[in-house]
Amino acid sequence: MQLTETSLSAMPKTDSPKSGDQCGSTGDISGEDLRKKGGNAKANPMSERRKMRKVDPDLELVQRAREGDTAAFDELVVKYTPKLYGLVYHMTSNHEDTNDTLQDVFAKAYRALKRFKGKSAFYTWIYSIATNMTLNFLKKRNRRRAYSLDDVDLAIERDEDFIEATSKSDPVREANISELQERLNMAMQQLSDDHRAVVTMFDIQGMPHAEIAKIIGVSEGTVRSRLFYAHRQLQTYLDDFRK
Amino acid sequence: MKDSDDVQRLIRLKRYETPGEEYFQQFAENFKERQRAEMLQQSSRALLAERFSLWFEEMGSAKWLVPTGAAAAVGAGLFFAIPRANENEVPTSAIVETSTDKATMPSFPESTDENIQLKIPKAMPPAIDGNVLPASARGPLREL
Repeated sequence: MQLTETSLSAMPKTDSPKSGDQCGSTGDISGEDLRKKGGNAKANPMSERRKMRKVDPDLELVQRAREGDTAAFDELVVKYTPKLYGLVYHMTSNHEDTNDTLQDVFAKAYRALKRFKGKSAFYTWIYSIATNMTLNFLKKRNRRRAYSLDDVDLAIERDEDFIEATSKSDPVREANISELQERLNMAMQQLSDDHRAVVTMFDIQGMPHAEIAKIIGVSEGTVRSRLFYAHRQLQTYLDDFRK
Repeated sequence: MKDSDDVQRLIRLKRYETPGEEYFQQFAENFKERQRAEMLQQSSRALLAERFSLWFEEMGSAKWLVPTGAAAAVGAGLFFAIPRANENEVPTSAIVETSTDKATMPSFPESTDENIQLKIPKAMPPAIDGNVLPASARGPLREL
């Protein structure tokens, strides 16, 4: 079946929620459950949902940080730096730019902490800040800036996907790690900034469509459309590795 | 779909690109230092603002002289900075005085069909070396 952009929007949501997603795995009460209990499902569905909603695990640290406890904010920095680094790095393909941008992200988050209302999880909130700042940075950056790539963890050699991608004896397909890394980064940089963002979050970081939609402020259908288009573009750029 | 799966599997390999644990520890330390520096800068500004407001309060009733004096200084500055309206007029010393006697003034013919002939007034200022001096000339030139 040939997937089209229209059919993608109508696709059922099959993603399981992961960390940082407030609703889902911890059990939202559906309207049907409320009716079974004899309660009026329409009377207070929101209050029931609120009770069952998973409490933001960072709530206490955020509250302390808002009151001026810098040690609490430092804990949040340590906790989220690896994930946010991955987001910014895979969008910029430059270690130095990532370092500078990430410092600015946390500085901005600290200054804006008092405006954080808690309507979303702290993780979603700071991820939005990082995404927006990275997109703004990329708009201003010179497109010809050289790559500054991180080293590849040697654990990649045990990855099934890597083994499959490099196991063929065809000279075109034989690629060492650095060459593969360079090709993947070149392919990613060929995408537009918005498409690269969704590919980073979905394919590299394994985030569900719903969470990506919340972070970048679009509908899930838009996220799926962008992914579809981006994957099609990447198929062209990585054609050598798929034959 | 298989092609898309292949691409996704390849792109997922990028997650092995990582700077290492040492970098993340150093990053957190660098951020702490940056945060402290920013807080010190903010606190010095806040301290300056606090000292100024204290000084202002301690002046008592004389504190109203400050805004009044400042407003006066601004007004005086504007007064001297903005050019006045009559500065563009030609100075009167540059105007050449001529006789106002109608009889001696050159007149234009009523009809424009006639050839225009200038009538030179009889009373002419003394010419010195062929040069006519303006009436407002003063100083050594006038005495010549």
